Amino acid sequence: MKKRNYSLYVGLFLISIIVLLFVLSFIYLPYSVDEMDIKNRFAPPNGEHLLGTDHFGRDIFSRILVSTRSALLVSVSSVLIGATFGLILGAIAALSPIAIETIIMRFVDALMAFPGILSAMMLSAVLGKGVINASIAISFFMVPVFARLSYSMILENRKKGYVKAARSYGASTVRLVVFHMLPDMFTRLITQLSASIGTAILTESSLSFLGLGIQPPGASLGLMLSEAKGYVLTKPYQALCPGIVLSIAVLGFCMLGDGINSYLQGDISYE
Amino acid sequence: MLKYALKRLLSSLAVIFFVTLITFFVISVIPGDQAILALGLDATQESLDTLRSSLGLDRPFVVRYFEWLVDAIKLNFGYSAVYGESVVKLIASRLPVTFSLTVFSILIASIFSSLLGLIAALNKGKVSDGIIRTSVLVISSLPSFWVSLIALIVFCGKLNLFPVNGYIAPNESFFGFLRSITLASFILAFGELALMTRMFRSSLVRSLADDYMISCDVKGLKRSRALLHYAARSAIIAPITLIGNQAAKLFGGTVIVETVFSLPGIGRLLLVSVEQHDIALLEGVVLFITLMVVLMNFLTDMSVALADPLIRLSGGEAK
Amino acid sequence: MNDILVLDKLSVCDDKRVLLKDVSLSLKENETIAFIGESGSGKTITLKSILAILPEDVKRASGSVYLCGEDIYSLKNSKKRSFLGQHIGFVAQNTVNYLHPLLRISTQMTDGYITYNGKKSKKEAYEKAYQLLLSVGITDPERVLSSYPSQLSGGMKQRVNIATALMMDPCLLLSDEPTTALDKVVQKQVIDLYLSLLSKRNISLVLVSHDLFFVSKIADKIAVFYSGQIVELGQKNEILNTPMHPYTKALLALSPSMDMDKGKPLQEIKGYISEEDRLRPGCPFFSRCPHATKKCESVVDQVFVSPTHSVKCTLI
Repeated sequence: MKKRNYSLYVGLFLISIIVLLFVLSFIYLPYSVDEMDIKNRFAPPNGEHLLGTDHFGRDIFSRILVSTRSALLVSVSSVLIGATFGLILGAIAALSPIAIETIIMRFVDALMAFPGILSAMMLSAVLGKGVINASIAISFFMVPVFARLSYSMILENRKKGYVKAARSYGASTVRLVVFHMLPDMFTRLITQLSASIGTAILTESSLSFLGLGIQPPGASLGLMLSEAKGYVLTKPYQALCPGIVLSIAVLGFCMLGDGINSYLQGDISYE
Repeated sequence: MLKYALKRLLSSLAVIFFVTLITFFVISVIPGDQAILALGLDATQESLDTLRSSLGLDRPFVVRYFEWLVDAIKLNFGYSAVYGESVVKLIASRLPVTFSLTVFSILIASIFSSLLGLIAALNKGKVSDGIIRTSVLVISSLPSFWVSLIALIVFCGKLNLFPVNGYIAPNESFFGFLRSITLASFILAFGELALMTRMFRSSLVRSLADDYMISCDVKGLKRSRALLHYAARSAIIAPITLIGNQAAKLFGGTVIVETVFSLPGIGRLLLVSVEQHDIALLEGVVLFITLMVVLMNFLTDMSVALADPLIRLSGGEAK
Repeated sequence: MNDILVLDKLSVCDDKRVLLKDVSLSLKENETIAFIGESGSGKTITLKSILAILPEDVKRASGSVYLCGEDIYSLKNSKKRSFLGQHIGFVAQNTVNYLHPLLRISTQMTDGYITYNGKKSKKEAYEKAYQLLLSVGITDPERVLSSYPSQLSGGMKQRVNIATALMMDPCLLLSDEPTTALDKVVQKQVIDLYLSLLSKRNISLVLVSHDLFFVSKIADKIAVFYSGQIVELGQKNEILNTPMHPYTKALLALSPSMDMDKGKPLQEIKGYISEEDRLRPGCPFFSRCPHATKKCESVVDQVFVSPTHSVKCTLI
């Protein structure tokens, strides 16, 4: 099937918007995040406030800029941490004797039984609210996803013809893993990483929306939407921009994962 | 089939064991010494010891875990500190909301994604295929709480089609009940659309390209029979698994829409228990949701086995 | 006698290459024609284009196919299906995937019959499937009918496919390499099966095979394919005893026989079917032909050696 890989480009484009906002937040911040201007509440977009102000008269644009920091930092770091633990756990399971393998994989299945938001909420209940604990909670539920990934990749690769062929002409285990298995695994790992970052951004903002992540007066897209919720029927505008930025971030990483997958695999995944 | 069922049952039991272990460990052990939490850091050693032994904290972890497990099996989760009611009763009273939300949204998602997947598969590589794939991806990427807010603004505020908040029990007014959960169900379903449509599409594409479709043509079967009886038969298996797994996940993921639309379901209960540090309630809800997930996954495996003779006959070894 | 099958200057191509070029032949009632030639020469594509079941990216460019007088490419899809279902049988090369893995053999064998004889014919269809399985040498049809494909061996599936193709008493059977991928004993059984089929039924057969022994036993006519063209077409004896085309000669000489010298290497035709050969206006065998002249590069003529024997070669 001939198809231009537009998900890759659109994904990259959307992510670059977010990264641009992220960088901008360090260079140029029009107002401080918690600078209130009570007289100027619910201002529509104007020259002074690019995207208007919220219910405390805080500058929405500045708050969005700062929000991208937590969105990117929390999601990327927690995905990397969770992925590292998960990949190691899965690899141990795949390379262990059957008894240990079974125990680890049932444990991973058990972790999987906690739907993402549930484990994050449970952890933030015992660890307390806040951004660090939200990151820990998010990495926690990334573990089983990546454990399953490395486990199944190693098992599948063992069965594949080219690995068997390489074995038969005497390739060493290291050579086998580095030259034969890794390139194939890389594709799926990158795809999963990108998609997971999207999920992590969503989870971080969900937690903040529920009041369990970033605490006021800090800024997070989820928190901004949670605050906008109280005025949503009278002042709907306040809920608009943070949601759009959040959607761009999530969609960007989803499409990037998709695009990389078809780029590296030659679109096999769709066949 | 029996062999396969037993095998899956055993592994589900193993999963349940780990689920209880994780729940107990995270909720009762990670927070630290509950005696210190209760009495403060400057409490005397003596009073700490007294409280610990009265709470049973001086005994080993394993013993405490098994006591807790036995209580849990007896459905004895204690009383919620916030509501002052038995945890089991609380969960039972909130279950209908979350259950109907899950069922409705998975139904909506299945209907839409199977139709979209079918259209995309039959037009593989054409413009409509690309449009469907992109739009479901976009729809599913939108954060559910934001979509909920927008829906509130449009449907409840501007159009006044649905009630802004509040849940109406079906025995009160069935139509009112439907109206009160429609928006929430659709928004939950949206989140599942991309994954499920893609699954329907790719498994249909695969089975449409299979050689037995040619043999259907040569045998002179009608297109409808070839599609429904042959292509769908093998294309349905992967989506069944996915639908089952996602239904289980949805069950534990209703908290956001329940919050936005003020629906009194399990998710609200969870949020309250987290906010108010109601440990007994938290343990009960977490355990209930995870057990439902495991049960749902088990049932999914069973229904896949019924649809796929290869699993049924080989006892699951082939896959 | 009527022509059961007529190919009239059929050309088929995909987005890059010409796969079949001006293929013409005809087959009468109760006749058998065998397609021979090396892999990639267009034999299977010809079978598929006869049935109009070409893969998505492959299209008929020109020419027509008449099956029992019907112009198959002028029929609408639904009509075409019902025509094929009722008059033509097809036994594919890869029999494994032609059976649906999740449906019982009984369902797959009978549902074509039930489609055309009504829901009430279920019992009748089952009985017919049972008898056909017996006649293709399956001793326990009941077990086979209630099985799933994964429970049958390769030879069994081959027989099931043949039996399925015969369910509607077709006037023409197309069979793609029925003996490949089977072991010698089963091959022999399948050959015997085809021979007895032909002797008992009023049926024409189009057979693709690499097995010259099989072809010599069963065929009335032989078409030699090379690079998407029929380079030589004639009665069996004409082709086997007096081959005219250099390619046919080479192909026949390759066939290993029992009285070959031991130690002597098996012969081969040097080279391969190259892309330039496919595009050349002249003879496609040009670059491999030991007798090729300058003229062969640009011109190729069809020569009739006898009314039934034609050769595409300028050297005759």
